[in-house]
Amino acid sequence: MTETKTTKTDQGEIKRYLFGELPQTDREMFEERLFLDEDFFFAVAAAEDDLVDRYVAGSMPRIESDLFERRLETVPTRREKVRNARVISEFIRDEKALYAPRQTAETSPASGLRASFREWFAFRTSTFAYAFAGMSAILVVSTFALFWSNSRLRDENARLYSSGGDAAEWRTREQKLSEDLNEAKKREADLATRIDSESEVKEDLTSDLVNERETRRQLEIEIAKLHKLPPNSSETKTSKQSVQTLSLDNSSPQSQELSTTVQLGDAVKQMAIIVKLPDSVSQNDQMTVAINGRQIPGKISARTDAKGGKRITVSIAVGDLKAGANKITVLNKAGVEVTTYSFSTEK
Amino acid sequence: MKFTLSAGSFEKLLARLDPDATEAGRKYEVLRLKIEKFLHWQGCRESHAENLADTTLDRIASKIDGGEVIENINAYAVTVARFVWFEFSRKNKEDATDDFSGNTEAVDGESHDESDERIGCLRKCLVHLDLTDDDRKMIVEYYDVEAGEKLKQTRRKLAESLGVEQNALRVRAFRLRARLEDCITKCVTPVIKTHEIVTNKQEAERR
Repeated sequence: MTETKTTKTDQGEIKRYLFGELPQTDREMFEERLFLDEDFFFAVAAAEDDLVDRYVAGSMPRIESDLFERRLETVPTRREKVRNARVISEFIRDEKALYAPRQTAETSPASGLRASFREWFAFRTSTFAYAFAGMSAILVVSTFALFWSNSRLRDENARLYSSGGDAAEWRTREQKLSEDLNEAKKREADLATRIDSESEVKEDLTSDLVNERETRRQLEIEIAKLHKLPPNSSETKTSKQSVQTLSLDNSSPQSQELSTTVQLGDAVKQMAIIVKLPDSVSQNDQMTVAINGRQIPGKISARTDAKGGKRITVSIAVGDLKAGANKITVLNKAGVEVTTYSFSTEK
Repeated sequence: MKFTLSAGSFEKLLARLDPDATEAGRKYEVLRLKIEKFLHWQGCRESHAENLADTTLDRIASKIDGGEVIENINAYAVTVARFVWFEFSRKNKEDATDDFSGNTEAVDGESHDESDERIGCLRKCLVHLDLTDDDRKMIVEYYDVEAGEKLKQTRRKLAESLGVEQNALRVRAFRLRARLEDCITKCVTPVIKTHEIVTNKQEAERR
């Protein structure tokens, strides 16, 4: 094997190659070295794994992750690596969680302390052992008694609250709801950012975002009820959204009504649209989608949703939608129209 | 005319790689891996890369079998691989300039089901590949990117504990991961790729 250590210059060049940033002549020379220098080849292959891992962990600087994502568009095997890296990183996390306590028990200095502790409490005569057993029994009985008494006090406290402690209860409830709302907003913002920036697993994220927004909406309604305010008052106004979700489902009158017209805030850049398909469609059936006559050339697999219905998800840049009426058409493999929905957008 | 690799020409190729049969076999595997990776980095799909690597090696073997003087097989391989890829991508333009993205795209990344399936595949592969405790430990420690700055130190310690150079450890870890990834990929149902939205002029005109 040719032994070559990779220098800092090499590392820079390796990154540029993997990001597809090397000019053609340099690239050809680089590729020749890949074949001639075995060590260099493995350095490049390992560098790709490291890049993928850093991307998945989110520890890549923005400028690099942009380049990485751009390259993902033309290197399908790297997209697969990203998916695999996600499960491998989960496996690593699980394994670490499994091994960490075991390692601590086996190797940490505390194990020495534990050993001396055990030594201290080792019974050398049966009298000590009986005495210790008796004391333990008393301790157990006392603990139960304490718990019972504590639980009675708690019940009493709750009873007093329900009769005269409305104000305190209101404050506690309001505080809890506000905390939950803040958490929900944070999760929602995080999901929207990820949908905006990631090019994969958007389908999961879209559903998560829809659920998160529903949770947030319910919390806002509850808070509004507490304050005796209408749900859409200024106090319950939400943060600016960059990703708007839309569910097109003609089997649900409520959903259809909600999704007919979409208000697009100034900050909205992307629309994630979940399209319900007719029951005649099966799981994994290949579909194509056209939006306002513009076709998405790739095939999209029909997926089964939580209710057992079939659906697909499409993410559209807001700039690609028309102001006013828009039409989305789903076609099957044979090019036959499966379903069509119309929706309007308003600024 | 398609060249079919005979046992004889394969033997000649191995002999040209190294006089020692074991070392020749190892070099052949590395050369194949280089060709496959080279094709991946050109934008070739996994499924095609295996066939194209075979085609590349077949052509090299056929030249040797035909008595052509090849000074350096590795240097020659990159030229042949480049040409094989060029030929293939010209015939299958859509594969060469592979799909996807921009801001508007058909989204069909992994659903919960697919992600669960992949996790299930990982578990199956850990059993199927018969990974030892040391192998698992190596994956966990070598690829623990969440360790951040400590990762370099961990890798150095790992190399010391195994009594190998860092370069050798890198190759070992890479091969282990490659086996695992290959197994997972072959196990999961292929997921649908996403595609860039383009204006279908004919369709628009028809409407």
